[in-house]
Amino acid sequence: MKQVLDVSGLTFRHSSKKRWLKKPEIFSLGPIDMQVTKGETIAIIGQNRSGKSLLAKMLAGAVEPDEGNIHLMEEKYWSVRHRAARKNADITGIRMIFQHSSESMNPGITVGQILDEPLRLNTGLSDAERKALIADTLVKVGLLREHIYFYRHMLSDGQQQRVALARAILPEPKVLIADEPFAALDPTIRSQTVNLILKLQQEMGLAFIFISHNLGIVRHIADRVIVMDGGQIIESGKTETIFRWPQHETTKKLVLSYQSLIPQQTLR
Amino acid sequence: MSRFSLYEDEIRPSPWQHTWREFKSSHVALVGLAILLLFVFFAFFAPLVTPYDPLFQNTESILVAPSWHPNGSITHLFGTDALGRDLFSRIMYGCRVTFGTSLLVVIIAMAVGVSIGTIAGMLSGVRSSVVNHLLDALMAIPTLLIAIIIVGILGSGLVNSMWAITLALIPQFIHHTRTFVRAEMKKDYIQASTLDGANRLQIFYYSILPNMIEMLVVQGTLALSIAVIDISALGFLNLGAQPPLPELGAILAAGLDVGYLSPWNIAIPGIAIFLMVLSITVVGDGLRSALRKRVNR
Repeated sequence: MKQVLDVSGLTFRHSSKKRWLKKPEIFSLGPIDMQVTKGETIAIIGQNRSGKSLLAKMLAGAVEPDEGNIHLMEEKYWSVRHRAARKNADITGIRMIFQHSSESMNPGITVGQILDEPLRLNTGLSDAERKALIADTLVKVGLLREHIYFYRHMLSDGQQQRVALARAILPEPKVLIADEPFAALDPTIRSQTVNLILKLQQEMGLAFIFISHNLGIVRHIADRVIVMDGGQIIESGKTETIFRWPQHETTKKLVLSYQSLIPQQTLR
Repeated sequence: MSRFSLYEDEIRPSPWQHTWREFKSSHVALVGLAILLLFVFFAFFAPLVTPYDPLFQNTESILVAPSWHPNGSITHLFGTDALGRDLFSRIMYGCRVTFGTSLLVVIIAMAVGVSIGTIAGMLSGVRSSVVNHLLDALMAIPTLLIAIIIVGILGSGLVNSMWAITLALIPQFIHHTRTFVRAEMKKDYIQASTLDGANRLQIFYYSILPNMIEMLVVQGTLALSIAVIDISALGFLNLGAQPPLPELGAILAAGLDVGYLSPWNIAIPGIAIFLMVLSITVVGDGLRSALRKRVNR
């Protein structure tokens, strides 16, 4: 198995110094180490304010870590702060689906223009090639070709989620990061989206890291689970191991709250 | 794609067609547009359609009543003024001067204001605050007052008053653009574009500008109506356009001298200014709601 993503010592801390007119923030994250192999699915679970979204944003490069490095295919992955370094690097290796898919779609431009952007900026394809690729990708995520003419307000939540997915997978990334991708969807659409992502993952061999509060889905699709609390990884391991033999107190609570809905199984 | 595609054959309305469709549904806005187009027509084609030279003084027909008056004649549709100049021709040229200069003033002020506002909005910290709060102080003073002060320094005249109004209009464009850009920069889709490697110019052009059009229309029409009022006010106060030049405010001021003899010399330029401002506001309002409906319905 090949290692795609290698994260070492990732740390984030708000400045604890008390500044003029500014309260000191006490939240800090990390240090976090994790390795992701090709085609692997990793779930990040934990309570609110445990630093899950921040970790996802740091992995995607949207937030600059204070310490630590992210290596994608043994090359350093730079955050948006390093504009010059990103110019020459492969920045489409890690793609992110934001928490609210509707807010990550620009209301003023069409779906076609939204999807065109990552290609226009990162590939040397001609207009016609880009258009064809966008149309194919839309079909791939279960939309129609004509959706390129649609605006955000014409699409339902599930369709917006698909557009966000299409935007993420267009430049053929190695790693896909999603922040609660299934939260706002009803069970039917949710299963469809889960199956769609699993199918795409098989086809493209991408590693999928996602945050979820829905432990049913986590147990269903994740290979490994990372449990976070207070900005630290408190437990990680194979999904079945975590669910059957949780070690940490918080993990036990999380799993119990899920298990209590399914009374057949008891904790050992 | 090798397959033939049915979807490409279907006509997709462009954003402007969407907007026009929504705009058409409001009848008030359509009437406003018709009146505004009339003024635009005067602004461009006044020399071709005016029956008389606006500066030609016919001493044999002084203060002729308008054509609907019992004493009026159809040769002078709106009558003549105290110097025997045809009022209809002067109003047409007046629309040309007042409306044309206002449009020019607003376009310059918008270009400058939006550029500075965008830069201020994309920067952060002290640099951004300095630009903003310095100009916020200026916004507390009415534009006409600022314009009068600037004209007082530069001296009167149409060109000077245009500069003055341009300078007076810029702060509000900067302020609104900065507020808008700052709010927009926090959105998720801007972050997504940044992650895609878009630089600031690309973010502005492809992501922020399409959303900014509604704000620009609102502020632009507001500024245009302010500019029309200010230019004619300066003309009326004899600080802007100087008397021989047919400018609506100046025509109004000249009519004031013979107001008791021939009230139409005040009424007609006044109605022209009123209709101009009203139609600009109505069209701006219709355009704004049409643009809003385009991205919400």
